[in-house]
Amino acid sequence: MMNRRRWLQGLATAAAGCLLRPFPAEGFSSGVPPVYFPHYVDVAKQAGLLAKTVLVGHESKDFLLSTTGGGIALFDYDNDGWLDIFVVNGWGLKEFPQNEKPTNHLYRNNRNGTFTDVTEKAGLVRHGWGQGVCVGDYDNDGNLDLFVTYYGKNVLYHNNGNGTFTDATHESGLLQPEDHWNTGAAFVDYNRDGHLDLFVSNYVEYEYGLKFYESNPELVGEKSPVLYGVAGLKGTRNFLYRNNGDGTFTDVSDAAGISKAGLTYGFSPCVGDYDNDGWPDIYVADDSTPSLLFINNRNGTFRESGMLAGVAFDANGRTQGGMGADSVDYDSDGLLDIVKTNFSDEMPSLYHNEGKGFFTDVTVPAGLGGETTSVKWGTGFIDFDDDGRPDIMIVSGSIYPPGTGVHHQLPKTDSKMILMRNVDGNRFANISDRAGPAFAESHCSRGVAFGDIFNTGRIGLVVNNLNDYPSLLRNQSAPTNSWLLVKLLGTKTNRAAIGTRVVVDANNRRQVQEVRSGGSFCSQNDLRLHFGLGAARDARVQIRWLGGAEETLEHVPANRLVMVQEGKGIVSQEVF
Amino acid sequence: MNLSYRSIRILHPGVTLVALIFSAYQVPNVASAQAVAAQAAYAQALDLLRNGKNADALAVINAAIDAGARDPSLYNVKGLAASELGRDQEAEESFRTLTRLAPRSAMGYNNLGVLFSKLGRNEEAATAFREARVQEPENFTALLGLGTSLVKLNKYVEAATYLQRAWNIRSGDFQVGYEWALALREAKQAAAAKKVLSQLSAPQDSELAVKYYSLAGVVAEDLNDAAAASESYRRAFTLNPNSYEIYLALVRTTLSAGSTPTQRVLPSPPQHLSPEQNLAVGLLFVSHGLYEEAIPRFEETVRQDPSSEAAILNLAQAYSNAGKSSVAMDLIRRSLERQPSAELYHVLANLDEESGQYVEAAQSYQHAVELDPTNEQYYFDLGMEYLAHFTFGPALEVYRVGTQKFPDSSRQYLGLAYSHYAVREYKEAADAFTKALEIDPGSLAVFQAWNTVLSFLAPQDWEALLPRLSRLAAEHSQSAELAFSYGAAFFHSELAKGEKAALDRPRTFLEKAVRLRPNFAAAHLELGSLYAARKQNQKAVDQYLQAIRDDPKSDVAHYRLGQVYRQMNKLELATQELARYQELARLHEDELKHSRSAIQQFVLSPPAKVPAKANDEELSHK
Repeated sequence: MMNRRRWLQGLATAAAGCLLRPFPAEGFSSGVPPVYFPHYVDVAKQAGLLAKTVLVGHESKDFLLSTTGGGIALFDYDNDGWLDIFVVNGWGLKEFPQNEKPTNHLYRNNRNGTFTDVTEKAGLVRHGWGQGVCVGDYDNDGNLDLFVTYYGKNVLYHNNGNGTFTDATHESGLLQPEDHWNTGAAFVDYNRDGHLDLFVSNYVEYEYGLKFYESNPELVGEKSPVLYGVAGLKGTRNFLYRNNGDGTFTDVSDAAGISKAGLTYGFSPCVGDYDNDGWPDIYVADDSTPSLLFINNRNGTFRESGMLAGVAFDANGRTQGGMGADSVDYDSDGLLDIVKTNFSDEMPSLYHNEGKGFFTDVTVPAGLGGETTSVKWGTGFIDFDDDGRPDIMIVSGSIYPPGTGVHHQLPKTDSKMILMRNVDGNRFANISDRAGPAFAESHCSRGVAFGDIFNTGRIGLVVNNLNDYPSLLRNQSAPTNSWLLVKLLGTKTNRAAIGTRVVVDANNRRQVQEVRSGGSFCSQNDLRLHFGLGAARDARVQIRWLGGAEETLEHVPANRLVMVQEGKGIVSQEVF
Repeated sequence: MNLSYRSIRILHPGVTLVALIFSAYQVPNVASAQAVAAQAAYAQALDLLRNGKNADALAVINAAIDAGARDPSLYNVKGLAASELGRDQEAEESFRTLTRLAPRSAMGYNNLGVLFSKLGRNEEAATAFREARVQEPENFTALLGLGTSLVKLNKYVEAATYLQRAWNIRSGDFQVGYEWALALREAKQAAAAKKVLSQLSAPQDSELAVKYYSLAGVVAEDLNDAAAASESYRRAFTLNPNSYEIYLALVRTTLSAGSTPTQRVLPSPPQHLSPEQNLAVGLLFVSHGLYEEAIPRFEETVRQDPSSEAAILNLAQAYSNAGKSSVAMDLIRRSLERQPSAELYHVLANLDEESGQYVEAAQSYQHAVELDPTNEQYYFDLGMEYLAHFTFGPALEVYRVGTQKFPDSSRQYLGLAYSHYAVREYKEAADAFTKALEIDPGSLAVFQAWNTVLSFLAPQDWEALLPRLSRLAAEHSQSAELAFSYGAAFFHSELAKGEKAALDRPRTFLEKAVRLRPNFAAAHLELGSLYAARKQNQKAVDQYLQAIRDDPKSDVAHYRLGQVYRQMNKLELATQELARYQELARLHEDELKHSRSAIQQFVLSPPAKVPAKANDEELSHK
């Protein structure tokens, strides 16, 4: 339990960091532009994120289910222009008192740096082994709906538009007839009919979630069935639900070819148009099995081609403990590249898009080969310094959350966040130790969601930490570059414009991003797209709506949020 | 070990002496009183001698000589009597007097030779027989005696020539034929020996017959005719059922000759075998995998000598191999109650492990280490036991101590390396793997273990290893493996530098590795990746293809080749290679599943009363 002393220590650390942080010497002595370092401070407690994510384990046994979960979402549920936070909670191997039952939490952004827990009011109290979350406006009513995955049965929450949600799982046809170990999810309009469909990843066969293993690898003197990962357990298939356009969904996993892929241990789908054909493809980060790339055949079906595409394995053809994934164009070649987090002592994977949907594993030459500590989960390409070169942030966490067993800690339990600066468009350098006090803290993190949480033009993040409080990281370092935040409203395209691509040209660099549901690790980022513009004062913005229309906006001024409606251009702007 | 050879050598020492000793010089027919008295004394003494009254015979002869008789025959009989009485010095003097009195007669030399033979003075015996042949070149006794003496002096080829001449004189004589065959056999002329033996028949005398059959058995064994040998030994053993040596030879050859149980029927072993003999017979059965047959011998050994650790160990092992593991473990535990023994604990640990009692196995290995901390094997096995059962902390500790106590043991470092690897301490694992390579740079097994670091070590961790690997490669400039180790490590280290990577030097070493060992699959694979990193795709393809030729089961090679083909836009070839990769990877996956299912049997209990349905529960409340 976080106590007052620790909270005060956190404040003290943050304050000291602000006061003592030196000016970057490079800026004054060499004549070259100063190197920017962010200063991320965890302000979760001050902000009112006061509910722990709970995973109660067995006193001496391990079980796989205690290792997963922890999705988190940033989305504007009340359409007030400010990002709210949804935290997926876990459960445990005990009977909780009625008033202590862990539940998911929705925190409303108070627009002043604090949040209010509105879970109950919003009708989102729910108990169970929560896993992941994604957001999308499945009924195109202008309100973002919520989909939460469970070890058990998933739940679709319809946003009523009045600050409350209604469980629409049954009516929508998404109530699963059987229990599954569902993990990541993403809304995706795979058939481009303007209605968001839904993709759900699954991990291991349901029965293995609560099978017990001895947790003490040091045991001598009694038989010890030590859990050593998922290898050898029966895998699962993913689900694809087609939106019928009337608020209901139909399971088209078989018809669409999703079920044809081999059994995997799936975690996080990351949707993107990887082959640049205008149709959304689906990449799935899988644990200990080949990661999958479902290429959209543009006829309602997919073909899995992860191996040929070069994103199924590492450079040696070895499966990895894939956890989370994100994609942007990190090297300005106009193609979506992929970063995938992996298990401890495995490097994260950086797949460079060579065109035609083919990738090359450039992890080592790009400088990510040394990032092998702890288990890495949520991730995202964020341009923290707004230089127009997307950087990479990764959160990590030991495989077993604290409190789920006393003997299971392997020597490497240091679980800190990692920030890799994009140095020149091709190479990344670890600057975690200069990224602020939040990067010195160790948590058992899982999901992370990125977004302009405080409407400051700077990317913040929320992290779901198991058996711990969430982290809310705010960059307190003043920006030195320009930026642009783009919010899209679809008309022919689905209302949330999910799947729409935005190409920004500024400062002699081109950037490509897409509005994405899901991603990171079982989490949801801000649906608004943040672009760093460097020294540019404005940018050229090209939008390729998923519905097919294209728009080009010239000289869009920097340092503001622009809202673009399909077919109408910029309909509003807000300078932060 | 040729047990029969040793046993047969025991069978035939001094085989010729008895026949020679009765060769007597005939008293000359001299018509003098003294001569008459001497002749009477000679006749009386010879008669006494023939009746075993050696002392009386000697007294008669001595009386005659004291009376002045100087007849050579008297000295001959005196020598015979003295020899029979064990008064060898007196016998030798008598025979030497005989040779002085009758220098041109072979008899004195022959009997002197026989006496020397009896006394084991074989060089002198041979000299005496040679002197006899000087006097009478074709003297049968001299030829036989000389041949026999030379056999004892290990001069088999020369011996065979004299014995052959003796055979020519008395063709069919058993003693000559036997000695000749023996000489030929010892002269590595088994086929000739067999031919000689075929011209003999077993004598009526059972002792001689045993020798005959035994030698026939040995010769047949020399000729790799186990069936014939078995038959000969069986006959010898029938005549001498108390001979341990013959029984051992019979068992050995019967087991070698017979492939079915009926062909392996053996008589009961001799009674009153010593503990060592019972143990040896048991081991012989064990060497042919006949544990049930070995068990009674080992049991008898243990009964005779309950403190025999060797017997207990072998009996326990035989029980185990006969499917009686619990009996074996009981035996050892009882023995350990009486007397703690590191070796017994070690064997008990092996049995525990084989029977799935791995916790007990670990404890027994631990006892072995504690009782004999100087035994490197015990440390190694204890560590491996922990490693095999995912008990990594103790394994790490065992090998940490093991490497301190046995700093020259490469496998202690390999154990340490695998322990670090198991707990994902890859940098430390790589250090230990490299240390093992430094201790034993010529070992292919150590190199192969070291090679696992390539797949897991982070690029920055190569830095510390490069100087050590460079030194190894320089010190062993003709080692393809060490050239590879350095080249591959260098390549991986450089690759992390991105566009600034300097790949020429690692290329040089990798090319050297494949030059030194053209079928070096791993080196071709790394070289292919180096070329691929340089975008020299066709060169990469060539190397990958060579890697596959050298190691067709290399899934990595197929995968990398597929990726390069794809980059070359040869999608059909890429697809083929990746399909092959999948096949091979699936095999690996199946192995994993098998391994996993083996682990699953140790799941202690299913989850009990788990509130996993809270989600549904909540739904129903709504």
